[in-house]
Amino acid sequence: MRRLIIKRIIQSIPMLIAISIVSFLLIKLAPGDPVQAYITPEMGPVDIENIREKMGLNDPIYIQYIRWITNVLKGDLGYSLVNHRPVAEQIVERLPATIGLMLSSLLFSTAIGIIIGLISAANQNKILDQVVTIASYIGISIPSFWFAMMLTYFLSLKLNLLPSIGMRTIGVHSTWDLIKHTIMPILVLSIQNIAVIARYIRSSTISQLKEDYVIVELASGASKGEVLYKYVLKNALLPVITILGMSLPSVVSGAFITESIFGWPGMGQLGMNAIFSYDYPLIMAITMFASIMLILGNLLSDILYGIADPRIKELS
Amino acid sequence: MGGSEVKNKRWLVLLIALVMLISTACGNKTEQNSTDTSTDVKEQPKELTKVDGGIFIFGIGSDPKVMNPLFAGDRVTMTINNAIFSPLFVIDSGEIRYYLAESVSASEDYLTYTLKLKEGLKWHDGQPITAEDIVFTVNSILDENQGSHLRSSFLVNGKPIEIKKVDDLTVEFILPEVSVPFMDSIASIRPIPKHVFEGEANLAQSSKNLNPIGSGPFKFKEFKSGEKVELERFDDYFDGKPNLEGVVFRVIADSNAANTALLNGELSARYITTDDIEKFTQNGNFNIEVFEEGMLNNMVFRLTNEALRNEDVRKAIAYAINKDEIVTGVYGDEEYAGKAYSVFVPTTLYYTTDVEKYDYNVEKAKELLKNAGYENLSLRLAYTNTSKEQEAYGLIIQQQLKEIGIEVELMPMERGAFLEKFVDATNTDFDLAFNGYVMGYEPSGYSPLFTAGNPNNFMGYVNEELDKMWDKGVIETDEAKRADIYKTIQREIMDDMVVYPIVYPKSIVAINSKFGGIEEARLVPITMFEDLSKLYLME
Repeated sequence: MRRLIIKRIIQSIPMLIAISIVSFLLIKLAPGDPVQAYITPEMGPVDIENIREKMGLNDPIYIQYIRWITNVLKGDLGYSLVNHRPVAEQIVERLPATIGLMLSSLLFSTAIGIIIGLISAANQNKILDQVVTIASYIGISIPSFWFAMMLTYFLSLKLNLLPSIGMRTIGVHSTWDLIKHTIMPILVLSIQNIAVIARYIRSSTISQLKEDYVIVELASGASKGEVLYKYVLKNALLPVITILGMSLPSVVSGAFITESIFGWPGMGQLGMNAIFSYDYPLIMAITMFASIMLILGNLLSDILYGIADPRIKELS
Repeated sequence: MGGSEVKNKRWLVLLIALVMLISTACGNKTEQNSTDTSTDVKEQPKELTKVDGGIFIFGIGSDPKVMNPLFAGDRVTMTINNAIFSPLFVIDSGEIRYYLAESVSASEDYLTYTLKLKEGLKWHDGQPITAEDIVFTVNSILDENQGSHLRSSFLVNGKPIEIKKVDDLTVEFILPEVSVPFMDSIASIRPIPKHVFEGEANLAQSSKNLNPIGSGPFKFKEFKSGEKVELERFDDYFDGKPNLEGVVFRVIADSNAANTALLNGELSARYITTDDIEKFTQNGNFNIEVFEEGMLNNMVFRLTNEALRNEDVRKAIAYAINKDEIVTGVYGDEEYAGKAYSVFVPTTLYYTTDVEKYDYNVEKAKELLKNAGYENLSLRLAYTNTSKEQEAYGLIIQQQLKEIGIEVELMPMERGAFLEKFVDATNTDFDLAFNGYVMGYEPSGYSPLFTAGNPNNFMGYVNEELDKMWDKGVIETDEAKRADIYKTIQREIMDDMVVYPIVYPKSIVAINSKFGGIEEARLVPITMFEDLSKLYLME
């Protein structure tokens, strides 16, 4: 197991370097210029050049990249071109909000997804199953920003049940207020995953129910419920671990959209703003950060799968 | 279970799902009606009285860049800084409103300006505001290493001005040459405290900016990146204790979400578009205010295009455009956008409409084109693809120019891509482009747009005669002669028709009607309110 982990971590390094180079090139090659934010009509061409020089934007691309990467290895992620604050500081500031949202969403979607999947499998092909199936397809296809707006329109504007933006109400510090603000963002982030997990659990459970050991257990007097939750669930859960690893990218990218619509002060919103203002140091840092999270996430799910399924452990 | 039984059940389920979808769509309309009647019943006009306290919540699109007036050039940052840092004075259509300053005057020869501060002014931390702070602020602006965008307004012909302390409350600005617009430069100063920033090597990156000490009606309380900037009342504000307990700026990037938040009461005021007006007037809880933004929306002619170098072609295009159609088509009513005939805006000093107006005349346009020899012309018109306004202009103008035989190819572009090409006057990717600008009260501020070789001259316009007039306008101290210079400039530019002025769009704000004092607080361009201390809550 240890050898597997070390091997995977070493494999990730060239991947991360490649990601950093590609991201850097893409951002630099895209039209648009952070200097735009600083140009005022009184400035002459000399002033604009001065600003460019100071930002180091006149050096050839590979020099700018090398400068950036050497700084990163020293722990200096640079300063935002827009607000001059250290990039690392800004990311750390916003991290808790996003991690909180993402973890809650993953837990929520897993829990609900499993329950729905089991119910569906237990009532295979009956009406309940059909309805759930259709709902799953809708859930997978729904565009997240539309869903976000629909939720806001009904729950916030029409029924006045939930606040529409932000993390807290101004002047209020209760936990219940925080929870009220999280409900819609979590629903939007989770909807797709709930559907996906429900489908997997359903088919996984159904195929497990056909296995010999189930027939043996039922024959020896175990109740259907006992069989389902004590024996089948464990086996049916295996693909979920892999799915969680695979769903990580959509949760991370979904966070960008969800956070922007709900004004959730997380890394996603920071990333969107950075992109629109061509704030290179910040964009690079967030891209690298997201990539590392994804690589680690997948590594973690592989390890967990190895622990959960002794057959894999044996193979390694 | 037979095959047909299962099939029937499947169809049934599909039918149920379909019905659910349709009923949600219809449900929207009925729900809307029922909510409207319920608000009608609830609302009884009741006597509202002014109370002390309350929190006013603005919606902003992103975090402020730097909470330091020396480095703030965008709307969001300037609005927040306006609450924290007071100006010395404000010039508005010729009248001066004094804030931190008690008086300001120019010497006879216009080479020395004397400014006197009010007595007893305090910073948010209780320290007195003195002449030393003004000197420090101006010297920081002049310091090239600090990189303040305000620096160029304190240079006269490239030479920096000098600032001297006369006594604890008085400073003198000494100019190397006459520069009549200099009063405007002094008005742009919002002092920063010397005792806070003295010794800081890099003001823009200083951590002191995260806890700004200012002189404005509201002092800094908390900044949560991506979430909000919270300010609380400054009891010792020079003009009296503010009525509101606090002001909050909430970050919400999405326009629809922000409108929902405004309707919900989670925001107190917001800029809205003409499309939103009905929604907010129907709701009944809002005051809709319309005011001058001082902006001109215009179309730029790229003189890199051979046909456009011919004056008659440009004039033909001007005559072929029907401004009335644009106003009605894009804004609905002239109330929301005034037709523009000059490259200056109405609130700029020496603005005049005594210029060639190019009133809609298709026949004249066709004739001019024919004389120029360009009866079939193809032009490319570029603009930012996120601007619904510009897209509408484009479609309307495309139709109108078709009437005179000009085919317009619309080129909506991503903002960054557009700006990059737009600011390069030699770029030939397009021939026409939409732009908007706010230049302010001082007419000399427009010169970068029209003088030869200036990076802000997006047309590539060269008129040496006019360049000389721009130079003269800055040193002409006789008011009548100065007026003459700038009126002539406006006339000349319109005669040359290098920029087609479209409209002066107004700012529209929806303010929750439980807040009063809007008039005393004054609705102004960019920062929405000039003096937030005058707003109050009513209950």
